[in-house]
Amino acid sequence: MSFWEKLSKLPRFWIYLGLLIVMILPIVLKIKAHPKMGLETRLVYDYIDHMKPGSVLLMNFTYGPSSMPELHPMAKAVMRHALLRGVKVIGMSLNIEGTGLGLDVFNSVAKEFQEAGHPLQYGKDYVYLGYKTGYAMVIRGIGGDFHETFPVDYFGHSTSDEETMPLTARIHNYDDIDLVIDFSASGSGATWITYAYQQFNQKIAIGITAVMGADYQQYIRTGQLVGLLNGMKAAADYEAAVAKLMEKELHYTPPPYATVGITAVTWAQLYLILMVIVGNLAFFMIRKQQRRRR
Amino acid sequence: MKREIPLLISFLAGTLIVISLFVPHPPFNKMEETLNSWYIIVSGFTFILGIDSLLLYNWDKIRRKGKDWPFALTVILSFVVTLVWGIVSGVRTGHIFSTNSTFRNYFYLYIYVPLQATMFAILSFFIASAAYRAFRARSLNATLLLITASIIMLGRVPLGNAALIPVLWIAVLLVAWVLLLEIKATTSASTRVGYLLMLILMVVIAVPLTKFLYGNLSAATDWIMDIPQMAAKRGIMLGLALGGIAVSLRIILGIERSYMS
Repeated sequence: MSFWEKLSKLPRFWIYLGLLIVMILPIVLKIKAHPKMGLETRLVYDYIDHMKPGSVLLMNFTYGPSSMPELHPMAKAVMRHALLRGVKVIGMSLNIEGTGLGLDVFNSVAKEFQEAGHPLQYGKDYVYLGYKTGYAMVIRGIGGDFHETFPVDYFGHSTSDEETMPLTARIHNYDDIDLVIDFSASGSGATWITYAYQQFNQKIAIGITAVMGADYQQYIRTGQLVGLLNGMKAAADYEAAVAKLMEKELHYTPPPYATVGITAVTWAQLYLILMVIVGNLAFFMIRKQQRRRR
Repeated sequence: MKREIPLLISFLAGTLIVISLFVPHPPFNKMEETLNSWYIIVSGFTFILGIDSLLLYNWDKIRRKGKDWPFALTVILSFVVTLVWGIVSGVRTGHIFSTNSTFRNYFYLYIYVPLQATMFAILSFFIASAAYRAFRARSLNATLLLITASIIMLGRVPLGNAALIPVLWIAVLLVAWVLLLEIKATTSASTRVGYLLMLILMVVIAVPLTKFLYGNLSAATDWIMDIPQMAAKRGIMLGLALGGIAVSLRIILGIERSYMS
């Protein structure tokens, strides 16, 4: 067996080991990237940045733990940003797996603001509605009657109670919601566009995993989306920008997740390209040798 | 009647929803809201059907001692443990995801989340292996796909621009090395000249290409995604939408009845 044949049949173990090393190193060494915000991400960032204090952002969590590395830090960064601008935040989930993750985003960001010396008030600054089955029908239902669709929040408080839940008490339908942002690892973004945007003219942004990026980019051009947060890169861009903002305004540095994760992704991408080059080189050399033998 | 009633329900529900989309005024909007509420309730019951199917299938496998039956046993045990733990924890603390819920703190955060994340993370290893073994420039189409994919991969990461020069030149040097080996091995003078010309041409093209892409990598990536990719995607989506409309109409009109079997 020639050198090239040996190389083309390199055991999987070595390929896997190489990938493991290039992915673990940046995480262990906490190498942070300093990303430059892309246009699609900038659109979402600017939109939230210009929302008036007191306006309402509805965050939907339609992802499971498998997409956590990309979407979780993205959702946290968006929530931090909205709260820094005085925007009220409501959370909900159309996916049973996303329920706990959405709650985790709300709890951890609320804790960060507490640690930063700016405690938030549940019911007034943020509300978590939890999971509701029905997908498209829930999205349409909010447009009809918010309180009928969500009579109680995740903890069982009545959403129409003006004393304990002033934030949700004033929400009747999409007219009272300024922006919906859907964090999704499925096709729920298209459902929001179909029902909430087309029927109720609701402003929508979405946060998705990188592999789904190609499915949603066309909606920005058509104006159906105000912006798009696409994968770990967008999560890192947004996280870095909001961290700067938080340091400046609250003198508090939130823990980095995506800015570290994107370094591992970058190294892994470069490793994959290298693998493709070496694999193709071996392929061509073997082909040449075979031709020569004939 | 067994067939006619479901067909009538499908026809009425489908027609009402379509009408309410175009006429969002009473009585259609109210009827639509009622139908939505019914849908939410009915979809809740589909979980029961799913559970029933899962348990029966796996139980049957265990009973017959079919292939890999211990896995079926694991599925049932996991289901029972999750269900019982979730209910007990939910009743005790008020909510299964409350901060003092053992279900959340032990099962969800330390078993379910890592398991799901691990399953997804394994994909990256398969991709690495596939990239090495299967992503070959066998034809012109495959070569175009390979080059485009590499540009997108580099353009979508922060260090892509900085990594462009080394990556491109590693590729150029490796190809140059292969060509030099060929020149050395071949005996024909004309073939040697051909390889030499290829080598020179490659270096001549690589220099301006590097200059062009460096600094414009992000723009090149955006162009690929915005123009050729989006054109193809729109075509696919329009086809899908038209197909969806056709299937929906067939169901509403009772032509497509496979959902009843």
